[in-house]
Amino acid sequence: MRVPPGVSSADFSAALAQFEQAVGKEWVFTSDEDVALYRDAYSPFWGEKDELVASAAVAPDNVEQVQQVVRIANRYKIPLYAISTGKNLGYGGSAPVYSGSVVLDLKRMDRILEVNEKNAYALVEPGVSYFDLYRYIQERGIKLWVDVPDPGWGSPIGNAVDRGGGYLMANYRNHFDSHCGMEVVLANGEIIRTGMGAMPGAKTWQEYKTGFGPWVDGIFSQSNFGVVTKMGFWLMPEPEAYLSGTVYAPRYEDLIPLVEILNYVENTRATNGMPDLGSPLLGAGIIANMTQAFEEKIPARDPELTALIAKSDVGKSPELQAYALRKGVPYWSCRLCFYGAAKANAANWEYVQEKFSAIPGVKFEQNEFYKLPLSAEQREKVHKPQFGIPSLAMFSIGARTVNNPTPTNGHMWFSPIIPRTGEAIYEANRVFQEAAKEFGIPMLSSFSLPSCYWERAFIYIFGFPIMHDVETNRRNRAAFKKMVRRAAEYGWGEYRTAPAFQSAIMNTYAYNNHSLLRLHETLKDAVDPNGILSAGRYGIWPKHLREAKA
Amino acid sequence: MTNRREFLHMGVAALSLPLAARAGASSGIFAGGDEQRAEPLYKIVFDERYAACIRFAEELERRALATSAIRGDITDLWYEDLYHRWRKGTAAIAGMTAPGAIFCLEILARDAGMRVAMRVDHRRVEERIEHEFAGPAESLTLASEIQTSAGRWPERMAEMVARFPTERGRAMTARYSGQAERFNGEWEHLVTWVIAPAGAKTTSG
Repeated sequence: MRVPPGVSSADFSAALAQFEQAVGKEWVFTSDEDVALYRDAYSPFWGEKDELVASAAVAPDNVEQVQQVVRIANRYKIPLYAISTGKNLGYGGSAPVYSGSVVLDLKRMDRILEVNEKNAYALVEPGVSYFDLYRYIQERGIKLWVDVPDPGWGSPIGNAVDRGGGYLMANYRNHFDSHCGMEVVLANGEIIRTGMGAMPGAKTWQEYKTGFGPWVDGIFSQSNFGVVTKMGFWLMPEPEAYLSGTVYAPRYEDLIPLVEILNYVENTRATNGMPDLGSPLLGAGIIANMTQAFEEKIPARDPELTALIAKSDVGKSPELQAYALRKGVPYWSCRLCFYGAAKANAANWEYVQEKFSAIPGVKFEQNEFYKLPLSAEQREKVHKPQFGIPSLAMFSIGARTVNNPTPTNGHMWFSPIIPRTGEAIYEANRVFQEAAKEFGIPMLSSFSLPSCYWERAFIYIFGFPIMHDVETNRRNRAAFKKMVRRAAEYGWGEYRTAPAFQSAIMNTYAYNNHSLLRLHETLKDAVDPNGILSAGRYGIWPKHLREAKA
Repeated sequence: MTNRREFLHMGVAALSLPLAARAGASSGIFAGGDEQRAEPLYKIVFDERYAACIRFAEELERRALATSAIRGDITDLWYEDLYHRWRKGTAAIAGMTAPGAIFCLEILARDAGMRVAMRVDHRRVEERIEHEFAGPAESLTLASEIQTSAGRWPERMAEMVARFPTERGRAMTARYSGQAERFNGEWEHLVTWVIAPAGAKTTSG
């Protein structure tokens, strides 16, 4: 049995015995084969001695047991690492940041405490998965949608506190922003409730976010200041209808007004679904068609076009532009979605067409129209998360196929945030293409378009492959860190990352000699003086480990 | 309600299992005799996009085993069927699918007290198929027949799955190579697998 670093065998044994008293002997896992289940399936250290692994796991059933566990951990200075469902593949999984920590596995806390249809919210525990919440709602005929990520086997709490996103209307897509009220167990075992929940007998815990005084919810996301044991979420009332349409723009320079108009129609809520940028000319597909793109045979590209793209300056050349106009292939596309009354959707689609008509030569195509709820046949055609339906379909795209000749054993997401402008897209492509060449990273496409999960910024999501090959993973980890630094030189920071890179990325948020990180550390030392909770998570290390690293 | 102890009492799932033993290392390998009790299989999963998987499933249907077709994605199978069955208790399943499907089922099975007890990866390598076996010694003899089965390897895999033992010895790995039958370029990598309850009886240490 592995012992956490800095803990004596005697203390660890005593702590484990007390964990067993607190949660029951069968819910403390110490054997190698049990603990191995907490390995990160997408670990970038696969097969290396540096792989981040747990020493044991403890699985409480309720908040009182969580309190007992953290008190015991404090007594013996046992490092804990809290997980909800532990399926955050690509951004961490269930393995701890501080190798040798005891995983605090919250999967047994899987109660859906309330779903309020009239006021459209839910209150859940951390072990509730998106599938669980969806099933609960479906079985009761409740007309609410859950904004789900891709894939849907994670938990709303885990995804929200990691600041993940989904696909529905803008005010639901950002999962942390759409939460309302938290219950948190602090490192000393004390329970707090945030927002209106701080008032005994509060009637609006899931209806009014900020309560009174400082709003502290944010410090419990991407952090290690407490263990979230309950969380409220605003859910989306099922709309009457869904409509999608695509705007096509013919010229390279059109990307700038295309994004400007997109921002306007989105920020005024003329379109309320997630926009999806693409390039028919350069072969940059859209998210809604991702699964099909991997599975279906892609028509062979015109060799003339392939040659022109290869000779272009990051997707730009007079010859390429001439080809696009001659062949009628749009340079850019932007798919827009509308949730709401059918008449309102049609009117909004008409309105946004008027706005985009300011771009000369722009064309429009209406794609999907559905009266909701979807029929069984319609469900099979759509990208399910855009209709609040959890799915695992994205895993079917990972296999080796004609379109994916070298499948990987996983991936680590490099996810920089860039400004929501066409100019930023051009610059990011130039910078990332040059960096990829310099660092020896193969780029799959000649031009990459960002995603629109967030309302006010673009996000790029590049997957660095993980293989069951030590040398390849070493190279890719080094390249990943170089890419992080290169992005930071241009003012682009990552929104989220896997444990292996959390400190490296936190170090790029270095304004005023890392004053924000120093504030995090001050908070950490105050609320968790023994540093027992999720040490190192998002680059926040407790004092004794900072001193050890110094 | 599923006991987490049950599901955690298992080896690392086969996707990540470093099986150290090599084929034929043990002189006491089970010869495939019918005296071994076969694992009851709740459902056979197959990817209906691929002829090899269909043949695998047809062979098992002939043996009166229930089958479920998928097309890459296992979401509906799990949501509508396996979720409910596994809430009642463990139930072994087997299949021939693309790797993504077994990856998802493996992770979901962990929460239900199940593990990948055997997998055979079938990869096309030019005009041949490489079969990489990882599983109990008792299945090795049947697996080895894949070399002499010519184009009938999906049926051989079905036979091996149908006779998958409830009592399993040490984990073994082996590689076999066979002539590919006529492909239509329809697949590059398939997996035959068995997910079985954790804590199965073992015949050896």
